Amino acid sequence: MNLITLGCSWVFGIGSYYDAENPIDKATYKEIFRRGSNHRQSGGEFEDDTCWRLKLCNELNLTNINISKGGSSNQSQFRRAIRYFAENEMDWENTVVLWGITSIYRDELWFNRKKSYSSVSLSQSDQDPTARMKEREKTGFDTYAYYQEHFNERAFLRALKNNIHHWQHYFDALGVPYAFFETLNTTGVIPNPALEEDMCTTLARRNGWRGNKDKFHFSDWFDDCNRIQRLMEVGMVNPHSFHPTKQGNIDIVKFMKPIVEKML
Amino acid sequence: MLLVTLGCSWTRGVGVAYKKGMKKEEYKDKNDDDILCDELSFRGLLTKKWKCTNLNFSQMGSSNDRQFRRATTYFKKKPRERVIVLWGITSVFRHEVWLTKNHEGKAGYQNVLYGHGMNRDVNMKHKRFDVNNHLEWHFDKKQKIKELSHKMRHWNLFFDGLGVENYWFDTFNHHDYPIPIDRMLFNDRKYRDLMSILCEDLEFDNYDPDEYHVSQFNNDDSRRMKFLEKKELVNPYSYHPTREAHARIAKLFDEVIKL
Repeated sequence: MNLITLGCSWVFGIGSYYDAENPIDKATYKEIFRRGSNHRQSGGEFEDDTCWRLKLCNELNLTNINISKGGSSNQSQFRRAIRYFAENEMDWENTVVLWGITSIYRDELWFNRKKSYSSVSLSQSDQDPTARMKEREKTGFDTYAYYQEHFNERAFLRALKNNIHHWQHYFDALGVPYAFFETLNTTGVIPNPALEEDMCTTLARRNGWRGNKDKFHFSDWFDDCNRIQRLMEVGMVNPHSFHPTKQGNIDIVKFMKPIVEKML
Repeated sequence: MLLVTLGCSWTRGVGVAYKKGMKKEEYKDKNDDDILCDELSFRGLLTKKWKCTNLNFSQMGSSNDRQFRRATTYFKKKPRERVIVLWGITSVFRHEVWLTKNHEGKAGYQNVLYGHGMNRDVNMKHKRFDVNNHLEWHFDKKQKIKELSHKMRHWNLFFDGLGVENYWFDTFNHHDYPIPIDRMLFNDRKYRDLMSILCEDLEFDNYDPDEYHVSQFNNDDSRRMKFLEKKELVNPYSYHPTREAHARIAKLFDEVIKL
């Protein structure tokens, strides 16, 4: 049986190699991140089973087909899914799908220089004209202008909702069990979400966060909300990129396992 | 039976209003007329011939992106009646952007058309879209065609699941898709797009696949277009198929989709 996983860094497992009981400094963390992410993406030598999706697959004897990627936008995940399913012979009868919806403050763009798509984080758009000019010279893209001229939260949410609906209809039509969940923030964009609240909030609540409201978490390597603050204090996310640690991933398995079991 | 049509101006029927000798201003007034387009376009003629209802999503100036978005919103569950989808792939030098404020202060999705780098000023002024920057940094024709093929396969599988009978066609350029696409019409033709087929049927043999037509009211990018203009199968103003050309196209579809 196959488990297809889609989503951003939290699904991919960025940071799962960080052991809160044996912490490493930022430089070492970054070095592992830089060295590891490409290899781990392709299942190469750096692939480990510290991330929850692989732990889950080991426990349930599933084969993981991973489409998630660190820094990925929802648009990127929709495109990557379409490409993967178009280019590969799928055994739909023996497949279940787990899809983590990430921040809407991201988009993706084709870059001729890289000859590839790259996700862009709209939350990091810089208003400073010098920084904008530098960015445009380097990448041909002005994130701030794009955010100002072409981003609207309501429109992006509506588009996201339509796309999620479409994929749910698609899997229904194919008879493939699926579960969608929000990863970083609860926005109500998913009909029948597998998690009542998003993954970050669920993890935070299990680890002592008692808040009702919180700021938006962008997952841009910033400690930008109370949930993340709490999770860092208890060693569930690392203090460098604020992604789930080895311990955080073990805890995520606990609440994601019943969701996957229900689909089998 | 329901015939769902998706595509650009060629599918919509822009240009069927043209009559020989018509003045440009008069043509401009009527070129996108709902009633004329619904009646005289190939989709209108097929609707009549097949005695069905037409639900049309095609639109003048539409990008492929917009058509995929429209389909994403519309197709949700297994239909109760027979549904046939005719989906025309248009120029890849177009896409859709969200605009927080256009030149009239309105927000919404807008198609941006930038074939051969045209419309620079209008795109910038009205849509805050920089054609030069996009073509230099963010556009790759081969990649766009590859993605189209992925999307078509995706929709084929979805339509299979819904029990919808769908067909694809290239509208005015033959695209070399890197993977085979089921239910792509006119694959037996050397060049499968409607414009090339119209030419081929009149024994035009001067086709150069590098002459990519962008259908932005221009006739200078393809000898096929000049040929069709001479044969009076496209109008001399917007260079869209005339009603005679639409009748020919309807016949082509009727012959391959045997109802």
